[in-house]
Amino acid sequence: MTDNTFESLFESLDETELQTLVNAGVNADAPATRSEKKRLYHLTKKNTESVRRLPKGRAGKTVLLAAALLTAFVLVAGAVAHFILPATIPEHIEGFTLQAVDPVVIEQDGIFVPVTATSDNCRITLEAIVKGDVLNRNLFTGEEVKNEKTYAVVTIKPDDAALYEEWQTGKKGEPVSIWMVEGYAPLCMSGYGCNWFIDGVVYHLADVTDAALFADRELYLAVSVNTPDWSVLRMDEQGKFYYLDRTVGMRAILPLPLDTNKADRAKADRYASEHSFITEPDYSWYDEQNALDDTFIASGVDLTPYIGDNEWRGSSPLQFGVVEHAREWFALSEARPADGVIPASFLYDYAFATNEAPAQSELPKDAESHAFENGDKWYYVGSDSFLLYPADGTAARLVVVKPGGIVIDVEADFNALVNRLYRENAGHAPAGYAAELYLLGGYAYNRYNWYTEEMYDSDVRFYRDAGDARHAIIAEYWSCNGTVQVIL
Amino acid sequence: MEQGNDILRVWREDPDRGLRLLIDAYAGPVWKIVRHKLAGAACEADMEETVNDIFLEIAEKAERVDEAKGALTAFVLTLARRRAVDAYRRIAHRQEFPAEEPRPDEPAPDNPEALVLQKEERRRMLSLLMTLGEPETTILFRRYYYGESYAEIGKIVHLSENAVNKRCLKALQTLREQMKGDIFQ
Repeated sequence: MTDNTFESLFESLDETELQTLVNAGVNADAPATRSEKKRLYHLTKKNTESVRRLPKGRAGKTVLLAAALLTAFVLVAGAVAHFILPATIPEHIEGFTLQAVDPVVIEQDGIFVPVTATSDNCRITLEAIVKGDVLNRNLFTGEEVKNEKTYAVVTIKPDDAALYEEWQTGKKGEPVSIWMVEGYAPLCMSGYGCNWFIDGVVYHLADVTDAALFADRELYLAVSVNTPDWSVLRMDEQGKFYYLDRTVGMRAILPLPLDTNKADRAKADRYASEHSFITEPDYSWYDEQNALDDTFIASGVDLTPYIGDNEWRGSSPLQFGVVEHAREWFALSEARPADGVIPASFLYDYAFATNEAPAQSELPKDAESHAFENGDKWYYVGSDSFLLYPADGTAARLVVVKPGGIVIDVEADFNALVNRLYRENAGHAPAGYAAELYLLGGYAYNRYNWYTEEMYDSDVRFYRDAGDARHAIIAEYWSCNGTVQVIL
Repeated sequence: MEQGNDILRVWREDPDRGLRLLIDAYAGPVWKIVRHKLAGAACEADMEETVNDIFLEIAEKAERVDEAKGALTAFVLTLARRRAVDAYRRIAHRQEFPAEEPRPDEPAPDNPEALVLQKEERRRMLSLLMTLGEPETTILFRRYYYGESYAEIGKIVHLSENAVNKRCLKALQTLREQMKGDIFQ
């Protein structure tokens, strides 16, 4: 039986035959990247709907790039005449279409008394609610659509000039905001915000047009550095919002009084349904992650030797000088878990970025890799696997590789690290499993996650000692003199 | 994957949410099929356009799909493959490279006897295929329907690349023996 025969058979499967195979248990699942799904969704919707809603905001690099579109400034009349609003508000649509928004009319929306909060030596003020008819002009197609928009204008003034500069360069993120409806879990809502950095003050513009549907309820605007997730921002049983004490960086929850005339209960309910608003959020997974972080931090393990720079160093641990970072040996065969299960293989994913494409020979071996270029960086995403043969006397040496690059990829769902894979496959860490590796794995996973989230402005997990730490995790497998070395 | 009933039910009540579920469940497989078919013939943009067209068509026709178990998946995969083949032929014609050639083991369309024999053999082979059990059936399906590599399949069935390779070869060997090496050489 040849490959051609089989290929021919499968190529000609009809629906009934496929249905039979699927019902027999054939696994036909295949993951798509988040961006593939999002693009597909929006392109499909575009062909069926004439008006598209804006995607979740990315108040990051794309906005800074779009700042080049600013052409003029106008003064906003009313109680907040002291600040300026750009005439052209750039908006970034999912994917790669940029629209320039020219406000036709912008005016203050009703009487408003500014609300101020202080946090982390920053003064955060909700200055005004402004409204206007804005003209969306697609820069590529020239298509124009007029929309009525509502914006919340927030100023953030940090005492520390260095912090202002860091936000301006995007090195540590920049202010973002999320509107919230009392009684619905935070982060179910989407929104868009962008920043202007003018004379030491950050002017943050939040699109709260959709929030206006809920204007007859208690609305809030959560402002922070980088978009939070449920590990820091929560809703209590009374529907009130709060940040956990572990939150790092500037943050505030401000009341958002929008024009109640814009409220539409029916539309709001439909909106809530379409966007899967949650009234009873489950924070258990986030609590687990927080506990893991706390345990690791309390353990005092110092990872600073493993913090690298952006320079590409290749895939060989020897190049990383790994020997000096070796951990203690432990023997898998002696540390069997209670259920007697020892993993036979590990699969892991990796991702790293470099300023220039390395030679093929420098890529991790035995791995499928997918390289793509984005801007001035090359990103490598791949996976590798290694086998463990738990024979008597088998030992595994766990060595932390000095990072050789930055792990960046948030569009794929990563199941990085041995520990997490093992936990997911076996349901628990084995008895006697090196606690340090467990914590290291968890910490490294979380830090990796944090770093990628910083770059892509999605959910971020905050740490008490959050710093500029970045590291890449590259694992490699080889056998040496009858033992298996696991390099993590 | 087979939550087709749920997707169809949601689709009928809330098309927007149904679309999200549909894409969440089937974007990956459709992309797999399109890439497998158009790799080397089309650029990424052409592939993306093909995937978009497929989902548009799915969106148009989803309402008519039977809610029987497995029906939606089978419908999506079949449609994806057909449209991918159509796209390949369009591109082949446009770029003037040879369109697909008939396989040597495919009987000529004007040979009804051979067609009947082939149909019977297909039925037998599929029947034997399902007796192999898992993960062999999945391995073969993904190898020949999606064109996945052993390493890619390994991630799905939680085996190493080598193990998948071995199981695939073993499965083919088993099928060959069970078919008693009929016309399949």
